[in-house]
Amino acid sequence: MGRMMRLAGIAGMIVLFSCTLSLAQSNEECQECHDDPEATGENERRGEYSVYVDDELYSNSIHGDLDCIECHEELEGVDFPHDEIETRKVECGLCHEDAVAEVSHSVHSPKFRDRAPDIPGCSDCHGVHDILAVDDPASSVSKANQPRTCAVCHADEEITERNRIVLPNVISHYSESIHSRLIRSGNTEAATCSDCHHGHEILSPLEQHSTIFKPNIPKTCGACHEDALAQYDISLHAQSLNAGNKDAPVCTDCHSEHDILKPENPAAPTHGFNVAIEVCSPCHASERLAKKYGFRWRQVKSFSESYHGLALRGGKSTVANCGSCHGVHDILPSSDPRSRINPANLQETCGACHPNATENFARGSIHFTTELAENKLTYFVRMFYIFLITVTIGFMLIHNSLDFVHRVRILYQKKYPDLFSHQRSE
Amino acid sequence: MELPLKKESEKKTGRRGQKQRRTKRMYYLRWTRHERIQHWLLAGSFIVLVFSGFALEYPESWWAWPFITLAPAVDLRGTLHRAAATVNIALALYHLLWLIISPRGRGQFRFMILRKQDFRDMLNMLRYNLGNISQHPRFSHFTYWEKFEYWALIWGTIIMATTGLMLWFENATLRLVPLKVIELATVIHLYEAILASLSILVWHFYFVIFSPAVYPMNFSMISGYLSREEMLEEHELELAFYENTEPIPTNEPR
Repeated sequence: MGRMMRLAGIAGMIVLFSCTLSLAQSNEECQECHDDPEATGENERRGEYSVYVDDELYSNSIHGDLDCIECHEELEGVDFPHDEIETRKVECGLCHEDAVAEVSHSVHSPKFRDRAPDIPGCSDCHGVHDILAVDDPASSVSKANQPRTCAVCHADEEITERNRIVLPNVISHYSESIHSRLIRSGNTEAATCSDCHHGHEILSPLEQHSTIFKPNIPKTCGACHEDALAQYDISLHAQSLNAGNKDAPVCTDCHSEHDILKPENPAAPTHGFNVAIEVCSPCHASERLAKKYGFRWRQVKSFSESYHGLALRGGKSTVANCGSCHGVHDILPSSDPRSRINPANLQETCGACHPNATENFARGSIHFTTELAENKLTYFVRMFYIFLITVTIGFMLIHNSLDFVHRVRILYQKKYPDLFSHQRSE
Repeated sequence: MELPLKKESEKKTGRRGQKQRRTKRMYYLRWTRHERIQHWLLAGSFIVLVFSGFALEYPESWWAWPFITLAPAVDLRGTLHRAAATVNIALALYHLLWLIISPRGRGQFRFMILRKQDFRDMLNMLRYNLGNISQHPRFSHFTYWEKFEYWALIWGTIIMATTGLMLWFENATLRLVPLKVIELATVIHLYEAILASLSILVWHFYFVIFSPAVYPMNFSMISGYLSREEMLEEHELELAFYENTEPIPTNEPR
């Protein structure tokens, strides 16, 4: 009886709508069939697939107020079951023109699909009927969930290989980073994927407009790290970068890209123990770069062999590392009067650790070597000592060897007198 | 405490029950207890200084592990080095005082003064070991190798203590002299340390440990005494003096 009544009601409604709005059908009508978790459809592209739509998820989604046919346009006014109609992929661009346009020239552009078969469409990141607003913490593209969403492809070995994704470990690297740690602890200010890469307009680092195009990186990081950017902007590194030098370092060259750690973390390349070897030496101990740009490339070596460097290598945390004297973001050459290592500022710079440092701190070289060209006095003293050690210890070895051989010979003769008596008789 | 310059020890030998024989052996004083304490304090501080010092120069070497793994945060290495340096310098000053005010110290010092004979002895020792001469040089209270070593030690201690103190109190040093002097002190401290360590290893350890004459070691720095055989080996002239066969030996210029 009830079923009859409902059918009658539906029929009545269809008639009513047909008369008044001519075509539109309501979500409730669609859900008559699509509310069944076991309902399936079939087409050439996808084979047999579930056509179930969870009514609760949909009505809670950001699109919950929209009618089904607003996205599934081709089904408008179609009688059901709509077996004969070839259902199309939903075109989000009908409403979200800007987003689709941005994606279309990004690395995720559908035009790359022949080279990278797994390029995602809108729904791969945003979901289908369950799309939530980006500022909803439960959204698949919320700050906290983005890494997990991107990881579906970017942490999948098979997919990264098949699509020739250059960096296959970005997600695991990112998850160790301070950004990830902060986000997981509930900080919504910290950077997630889209903060650096953009959400839709994700571009290759080779593209000039990319947020990760080398010269743009300081601006990208500076969006949050304003103070660091302001300091970096006056540095020789920034001056050189702005002059068109692609070897000049930007943020990521020192802090690394995805696995950025706080400098206080002993695992960070920017930690005092690691900075000389992991941050500065790739460039400043490079003979090739030093020749190209005319800087002194043995500075890392001379530091490592100085008391500061030796004690640091031995695990003493209170001695100076590169940054202690040269600064961190605002590194300037000693010729610049603003530089920490300008002779006029050395008293203050050294004075940070050596109280009441006098002008004597500037009379000599912190990066001293015993090379003739740089320091005649220490060169000759070292040479004198090497000569003295060779002669003295060499003489001792000869003197003692003679004594040893003689004594051993006497002991041998004492122990085996017979062996010697016949020798003597000869 | 006055120690006898020589002492006689009597020991019964032979098996129990059998007829026992009394043997007399003579022992001659080499180092007073006071001198032995000085030596071992010096040896201890020297070894700690060498170990903790070269651990700074070669922080990645395997033998530096106690400082790297145990306590880098509290700077165990630096603290030990400075503690041993304090002992070493204090001992050096005490030794100087002892040489000046103590009769025994003054006497030992007089024996220690270098003479032409020491260089002649060294030459003769080389010639003897090469087989050029058959007569082994005869030594008095101190042999030439002991004298050379003592003076090398004095010289080394002066250099190491001076440069070491300059580097220890680098802020005070830099109030007086330019950074260049610190550079120089750094270089000297390292190379003098290499020279001193190698000297101890090659020279000292040969004569007191590795020489077939004393191996496994010359025990006089423990007991204080040398046996008559040992005296005959290295201090024949002194032995002759004790046994009244010759007048006062050697330390007077010839």
